[in-house]
Amino acid sequence: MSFAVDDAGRMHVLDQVNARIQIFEKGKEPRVVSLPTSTYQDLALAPDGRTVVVDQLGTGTVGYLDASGEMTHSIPIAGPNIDDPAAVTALFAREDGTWLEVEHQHLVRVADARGEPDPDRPVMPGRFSRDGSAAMRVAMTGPTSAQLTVEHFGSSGAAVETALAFDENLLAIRSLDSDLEGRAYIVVDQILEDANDPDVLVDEHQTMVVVGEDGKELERFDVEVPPTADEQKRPITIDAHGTVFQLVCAKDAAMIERFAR
Amino acid sequence: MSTERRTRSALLLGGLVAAAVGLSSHAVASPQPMTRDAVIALAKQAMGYSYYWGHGRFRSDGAQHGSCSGGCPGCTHYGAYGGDCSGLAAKVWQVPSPIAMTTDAHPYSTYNFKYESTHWSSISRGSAKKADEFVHHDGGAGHIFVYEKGDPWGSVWAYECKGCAWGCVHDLRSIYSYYLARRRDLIQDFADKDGDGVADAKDNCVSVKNASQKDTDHDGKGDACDTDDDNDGDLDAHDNCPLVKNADQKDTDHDGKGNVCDSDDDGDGVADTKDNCPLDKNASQKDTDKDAKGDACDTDDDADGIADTKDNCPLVKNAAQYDADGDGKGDACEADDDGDGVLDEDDDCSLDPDPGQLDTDGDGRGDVCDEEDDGDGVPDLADDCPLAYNPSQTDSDGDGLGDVCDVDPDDDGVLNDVDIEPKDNCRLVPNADQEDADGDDIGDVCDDDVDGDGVKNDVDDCATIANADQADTDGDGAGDACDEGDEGDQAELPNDAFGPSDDVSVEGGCNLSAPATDPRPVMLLLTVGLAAVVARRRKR
Repeated sequence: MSFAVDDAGRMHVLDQVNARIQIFEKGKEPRVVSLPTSTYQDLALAPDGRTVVVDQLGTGTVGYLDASGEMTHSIPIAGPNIDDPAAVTALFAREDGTWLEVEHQHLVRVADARGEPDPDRPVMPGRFSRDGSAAMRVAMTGPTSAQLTVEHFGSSGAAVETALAFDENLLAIRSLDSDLEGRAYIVVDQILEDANDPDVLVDEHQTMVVVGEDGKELERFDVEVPPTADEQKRPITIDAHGTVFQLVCAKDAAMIERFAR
Repeated sequence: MSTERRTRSALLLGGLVAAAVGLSSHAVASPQPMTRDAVIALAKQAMGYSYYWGHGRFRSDGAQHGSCSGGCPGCTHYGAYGGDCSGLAAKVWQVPSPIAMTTDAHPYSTYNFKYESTHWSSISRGSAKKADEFVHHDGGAGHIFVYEKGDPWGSVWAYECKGCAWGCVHDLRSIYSYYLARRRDLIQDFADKDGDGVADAKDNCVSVKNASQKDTDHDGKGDACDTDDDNDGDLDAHDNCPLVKNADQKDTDHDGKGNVCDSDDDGDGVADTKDNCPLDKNASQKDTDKDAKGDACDTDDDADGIADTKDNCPLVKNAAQYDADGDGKGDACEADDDGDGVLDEDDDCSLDPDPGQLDTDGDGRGDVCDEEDDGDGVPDLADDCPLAYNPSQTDSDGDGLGDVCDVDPDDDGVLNDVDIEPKDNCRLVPNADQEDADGDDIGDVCDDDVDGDGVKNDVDDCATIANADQADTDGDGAGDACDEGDEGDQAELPNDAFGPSDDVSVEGGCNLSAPATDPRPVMLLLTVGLAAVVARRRKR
């Protein structure tokens, strides 16, 4: 599953199992946009009002839906700089085109602003910051450590690197996002296994770390650990103002929680 | 997400499916060792096949994928091949026992993988390696996938039969804490036919256990399976140094161990590293010239520049090779250099044969090597009597022989100092006639009292006629006994009274310079004797 929040505050939830996108707007009935297959794994909202979805494993395509929810066309993922569509980890729709993230480390622009395939497929390290002024990437550097790297475009200075240390073992990095003030938001999943029985978790918590533009850690706090549920491509997102939205899937339902900082 | 939602009755179904494809109870079966790469290779075969609830059957040619529609377990499947997540998991692990990919089998569910440990065990999530699996099962639903590797976010490249919509795919997926890590029993990090811990791909003896991988000759074939470890052409079975190249098989001490691997090549009990002749038996390590090369292997033991084979004293430095007696043994190492029968330490001339050890002057240096035999201070070569002490070198007759050694120093033909009679009664005054008027054995010519009357000739008024009273009646100075005219007559002595010379004058007393008789025969004889003595000398 995945979700996105538009400027009007509407929640766009990709319900892949049911091959649909549900759009939730306060005070209104959810709007449903059907998808051709139940294999789409991520969605993004383009500035021009279109919705872009990606299906890495089923059709291996990026699909474009107009404002009415009709799939206008799709383009293949595989091509220059992306050998295996399965390596795509995120989708970004920007004014300059459609970018696919590969193995959480770099972006490849696969289409222009109109959604037409980009024959050049340029590559950019990391993912764009909220205002597009920098490239960000984060990676685990050890069992209990990670590093955030932010490179500002047009700056002659070195990239800003921030080492992040944690108390428990990192199971995974769940999210990397930013707000308009240049703050980076990183969410990690930490676990502590029983020394004698690794099946038993002594502790688990998801932690959000907020890092300022200067690379200094501003704060960190725990967010809810989702219960057993479907695989999620984008479980947490941040809006332009730093509001945190978390998609929590349960057995029979999904819920988006919002945290105001 | 997997849509495998199995109840316990579904597990029973799985068991029935297993039985249907010929598997007996997995409790009695046993898996075989398997490498991680082998597991992944099987997983790759299954990719692209359809999701087939309760099955596990795949082709190696990638054909006949089949298809799935709807939502499982109520989904509809078309075709004979495909599998669900646990069907794939068991098939690629080849548990409970080896089985063909094309044989349908579904021996375990996610429940089994989570709660049992028949042929696998629980591991820490962080320690997962290629071919381990992650399983979750909760409330009758679950999923399992084969781990390949992680990405920088901790997402996982997996092989999984993901669900009806996707089928069996190789994808980069998220992982959550409710997934538990499992490791197959007998999994090997790599193929290792001989079980020595070295991957077959890198094992220099694939079928022979050799964890060390020792390969002496670096020919790519480990010693454990190489018939000629040192690659010297001599097979190990017959090689006296199987691990050291020695085609010549040289074995100096014949102990069956070639020199190149023998720590004591010559078997003398001294290790080669300390042996001054490692190839020559020399337990004593004798090294005469201290050049670190033992005599046993040194071609010039005494380091005198003369090879031992030509050295007349191989163990004593004697570059000059002196050999006084010419016996082939150098003086430097001979106890009797001159071979005269007298040891050098007792020999007064150790380099000149001198068995008699004659030492005239008793100076400890034998005459044969003494340049001054008689100790008179005159070198033999200049000494007129080299064997007789005569520092004055008096030679009365001037014949070159000093008086002390001249048998006829006055050269009058009458020899002295010989055991024959008569002796010269005037040794130093020529008097061949040996006249001795007074018979006192002193020749007249050297007798200061010729007439023996007790009055010296020079005052005797009758020197040749005894007249002890010196009566001189006429007082003419001539004693009466010899005065023809006592009154002053002069008497004329017979010419032969003092010799044949007419020049003899009685006023002059006795003329002792009598003409010499011919002494030459004697002189010649003595000269030859002296030359012989000189010729025997040599300088040291």
